[in-house]
Parts: sequence; structure tokens; C-alpha cells
Amino acid sequence: MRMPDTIPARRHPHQVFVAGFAILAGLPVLLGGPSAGSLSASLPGWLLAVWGFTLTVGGLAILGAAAVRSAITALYLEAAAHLPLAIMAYAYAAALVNLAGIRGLSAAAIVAGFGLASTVRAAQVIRTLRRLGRAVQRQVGA
Amino acid sequence: MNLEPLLQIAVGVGGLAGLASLTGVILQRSKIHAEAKKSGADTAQVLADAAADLLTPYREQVGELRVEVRGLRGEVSALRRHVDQLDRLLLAAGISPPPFLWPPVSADNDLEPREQTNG
Repeated sequence: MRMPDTIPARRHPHQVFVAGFAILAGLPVLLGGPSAGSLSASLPGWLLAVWGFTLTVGGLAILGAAAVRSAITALYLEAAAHLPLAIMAYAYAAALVNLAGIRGLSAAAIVAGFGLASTVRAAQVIRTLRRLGRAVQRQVGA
Repeated sequence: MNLEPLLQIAVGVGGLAGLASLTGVILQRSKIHAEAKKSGADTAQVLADAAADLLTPYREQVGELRVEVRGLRGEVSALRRHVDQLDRLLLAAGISPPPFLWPPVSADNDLEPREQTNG
């Protein structure tokens, strides 16, 4: 029996863990603490702050999605968070390869994997929100 | 190859994507609210109904599985009762009942490998 691909789980332990990790990576940058050497070597201060801010807010949004009671609010939070997080992860992975070359490849692959997972999740959430929109239209039309 | 300019553009785009997705979500939410309001219905109710609509397939299937599991449990209990009854009858007839070994639980639930999932 195949389960339908509707509202996906938002409290998956891996997703919550990675969201916490994004905050751990982004918050020190925002607070003026140490930042990843590969990024600070490639980005000016204000873009580094954008990177830290996106990671922190995105991570908080995903943690919020796991915490709130309403599945719909959670979907909105996830829809806002995943794509920017994915782009920032790809940028970080590229920075790692740019600075460390082949030596940074495995770390870059892990970070890029996070980006890929976020991209797939963003697609799932957006698809579910579209279905929700259609369901609302059906309800209103009925 | 120096990737710095590309990285800077990527982080800029990421920041803009954050703003855009936040705006998109707010717009989509207000659009759904406006549509619900236009019909004169209670917005929260319409949204809850729509979400229930999306979850219905899950709920129905989970409900069916629960009924199936309840039925199977009933069958197993009936089988245990019959075995006990047979044991008592054999003992009453002076025959020592053979030990009844329940068949081992199938580790793969009789599914083909490709059908097995982690749920």
C-alpha cells in the first residue's frame, strides 16, 4: 500500500537537528563572533552578516515549524525558510572548495547535501501549499 | 579559478530569496484568507477543513489498518483459546499435550524487499 504524498512530517529529528545546527553556524557570525574561515575569506562583512542572518532566521523558522501546533502555519514557516537556507548552504560549500580545493571536498559535500535536502523539502512544502490553496478554493466554491 | 565574485552573488541572491520567500508566503496566506473571507465563511474553519481534506487519505488508511489489526488480534486470541482448550482436553484424556510452538514472526512481514519501507 502506498501512502499518499500529502503534508510531510515537519518534526523529523534530522530536520530539527540540522535547523539547530544552522542557528549554531549563523548566530556567532551575527553576534560578531568567529565565522567560517572560508566564508570570511570570500565575503565582505555585510554579506557575511546576510549569510549569518539567513541561517539563523531560517533555522529558527524550521524549529518554529516543529514547535507550532498548526500544520498549516508550520508549512508557511518551512516554505519561507528552506530555499534561502539551501542557497546559503551551496554558497558555503562552494566557499569551502574555493579555499581548500580537493581537501575541502568532503566537508563541502556534506554542506551541499544539506542544501540539496533543503531544496527537495522546499519543493515538497510548496507542492503541499499549492494543494492547500486548491483545497481552499474547493471549500469556498462548494 | 577564483569563485569569490560568484560566491558574493550567491549569498546576495540567497538573502534576496529569503526576503522573496517570506513575502511570497505572506501574500499567499493573505490571498487564502481573502478567498475564504469573500465567501463569508470562517477563515479558520475553511483552512482547517482544507487541511483535513489533505490529510483524509492518511486518516482513512490508518483507520482501515487499525480495523485490520484489531481483527487480526481477535483471531490470534481465538486461536490461543482453542489451543488452551485442546490442551485441557488432552490432559483430561491423560495425554500430555505436545508443546505448541507459535510460528516465528516473519522478519520481513512477507513483503518483497522493494515493498519494505521504514514507514
